[in-house]
Amino acid sequence: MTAPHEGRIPLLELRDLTRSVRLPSRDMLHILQGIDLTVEAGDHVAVVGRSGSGKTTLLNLLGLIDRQTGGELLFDGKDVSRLSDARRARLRGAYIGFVFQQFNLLERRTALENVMMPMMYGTARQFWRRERSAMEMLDRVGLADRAHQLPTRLSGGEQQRVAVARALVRRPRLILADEPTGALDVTTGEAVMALLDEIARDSDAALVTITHDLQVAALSQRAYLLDEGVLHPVTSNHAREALSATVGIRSGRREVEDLAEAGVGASAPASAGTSAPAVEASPRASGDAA
Amino acid sequence: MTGLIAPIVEAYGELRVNKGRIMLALIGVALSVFILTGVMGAGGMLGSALEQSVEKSAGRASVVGVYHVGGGGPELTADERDEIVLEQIDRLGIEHRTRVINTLVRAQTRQGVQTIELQGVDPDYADIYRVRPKSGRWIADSDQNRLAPAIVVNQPAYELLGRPAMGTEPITLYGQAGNQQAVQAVVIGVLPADPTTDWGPTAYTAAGSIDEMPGMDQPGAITAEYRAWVPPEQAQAVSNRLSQVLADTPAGSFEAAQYSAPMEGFEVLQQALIAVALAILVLGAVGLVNISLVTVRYRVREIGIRRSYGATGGRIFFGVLMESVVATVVAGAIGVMGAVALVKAPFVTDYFRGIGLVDLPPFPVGAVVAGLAAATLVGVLAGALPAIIATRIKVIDAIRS
Repeated sequence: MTAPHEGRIPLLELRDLTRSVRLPSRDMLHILQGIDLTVEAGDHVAVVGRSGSGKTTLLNLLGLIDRQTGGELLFDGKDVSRLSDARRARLRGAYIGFVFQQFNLLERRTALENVMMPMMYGTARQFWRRERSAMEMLDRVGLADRAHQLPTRLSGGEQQRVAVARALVRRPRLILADEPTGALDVTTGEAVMALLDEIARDSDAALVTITHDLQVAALSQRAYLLDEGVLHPVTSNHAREALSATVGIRSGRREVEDLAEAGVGASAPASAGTSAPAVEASPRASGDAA
Repeated sequence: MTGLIAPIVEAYGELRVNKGRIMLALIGVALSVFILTGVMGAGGMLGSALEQSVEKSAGRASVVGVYHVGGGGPELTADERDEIVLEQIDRLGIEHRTRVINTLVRAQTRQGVQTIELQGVDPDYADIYRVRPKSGRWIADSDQNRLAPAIVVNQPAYELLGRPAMGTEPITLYGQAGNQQAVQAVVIGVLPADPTTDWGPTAYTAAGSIDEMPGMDQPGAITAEYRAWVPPEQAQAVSNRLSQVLADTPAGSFEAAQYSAPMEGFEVLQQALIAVALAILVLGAVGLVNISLVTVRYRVREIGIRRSYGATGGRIFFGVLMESVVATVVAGAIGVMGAVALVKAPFVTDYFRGIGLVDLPPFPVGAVVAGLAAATLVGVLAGALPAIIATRIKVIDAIRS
């Protein structure tokens, strides 16, 4: 286990995190096991895995939507596990932005109203400046001229750009993207990811992307494979083999090699001039990988 | 402040976006409030109409009558007797009181000689009995000094007398016996036709000039009494006090009694109508709850998205509740306005006048307040259950839905 940045408090730190549910048969289903992960400001982390591997559960835990059943989750150095739902909601609204696979825009609300929505739950200043801030963010994603269009009048790429604008309008410190390109064609998906990456980098926000697309994962500084609830750094042999064999991951063997060799993984230098990220795969995950 | 304004802005946005669906849901509430307010308002006005109708014949609800029951020497004139009784009434600070002196006179009409009931009264009689001439004017204090006594007649008497010109055309009144001297009087006012009180031709003249009327010099021609309009809560005390102080006077013995009975029957009817309106309102509320519950289920995903962007459970609760309250208050206001417009419509007010409403009262404020309060209450009740359900929606499940 490496100490990424001496003396600097990580934005997000997962320590031996576990999420289990009790089945009707009274048996326990372990969705996530022993997850160790550290995310710092400016990090761009990708988590790949096939359907049912626990990716979305992990994202929900990172986004303070769900609660772990074991381990610790530190946000800005503070254990948020025992915070009330209301405190977690405020924390989520203030520091975390979500981008969903199906965009999840509010129907019958214009693009502008969708982007303004998070500001309704912000500070008084954010509330009263909501329209101006939303317009600035729409302008940032190139949709200022479509601000008054309903989502149904926008293309898939435009809808996801609106979703990106909505996720970023409160200047979050952590952006969680759940299959952000899952509903887009390859070209549009690349454009959206480039935009997301660019804005996240500009605002020094950490970006955690959950995806099954290795091309998307390759854009990150670090990538992890979530396999049967256990997180593996992509550089491990286990992860490479699992990735190649995984059904449902949109990639070929060559892309797996590219992902592993392109500097994505533990102790890999940061791309695009960001600070070097640290990877802390759990001992258990590392052990599994070994 | 922003914490209060933001949910209202959000609720308004929700209403604006879903106005079609919400309007349909609120028709029931608006209709219920319309009926509730209308029944209470019309009931209040109808009550006033009935009250006024009763008061025209029996006097205000709290009139104390003073009656001569015997005694007293014949040496006292009517004026001296009045002075003794009225002094005691005035000592109690009563503002409205009148003498009532009944007699009968005859007049030559196209239908032959007709008997007219004549009452000598003071000007306050009009306030106590809600008497207001349709044309001309009511009796004034100065009328007792006229050479030709002034009389105010009801519609049947006016017709019998051949509709004489107001204030200028003299009519001749005769006493009950043929040998009595005739008196020339002038009609100065005509009361509106009222089937509830127009039992026969009636005329009123100033009590101070009743002595000039034919036949008033005959023994036993005068039956005098006094009436005072007092606050209802003081009626019994005033009655007791007057009975006490007038029991033994130089003018004889008098008794006082509360003259009018309260209208308990109408209050029961009004309460029954309100109960019906409330039942309708409850049905409207149940319909609204039903639609609100369906709406919340329809909005599960949206609520999940909002919560993922920082909306707390309390904020979601307050937001859903506010949507309901804002909507029902608007619907209630529409219902109240509709009820006021209907009750104050010309054909309705004409109806009230037709059944005896002299002073058309304003639409009862209590009915307006009750209508709006009921709408707000329905909004809170109808919004609370969906709001609780909304807060229990799991964000994860909601986003995936």
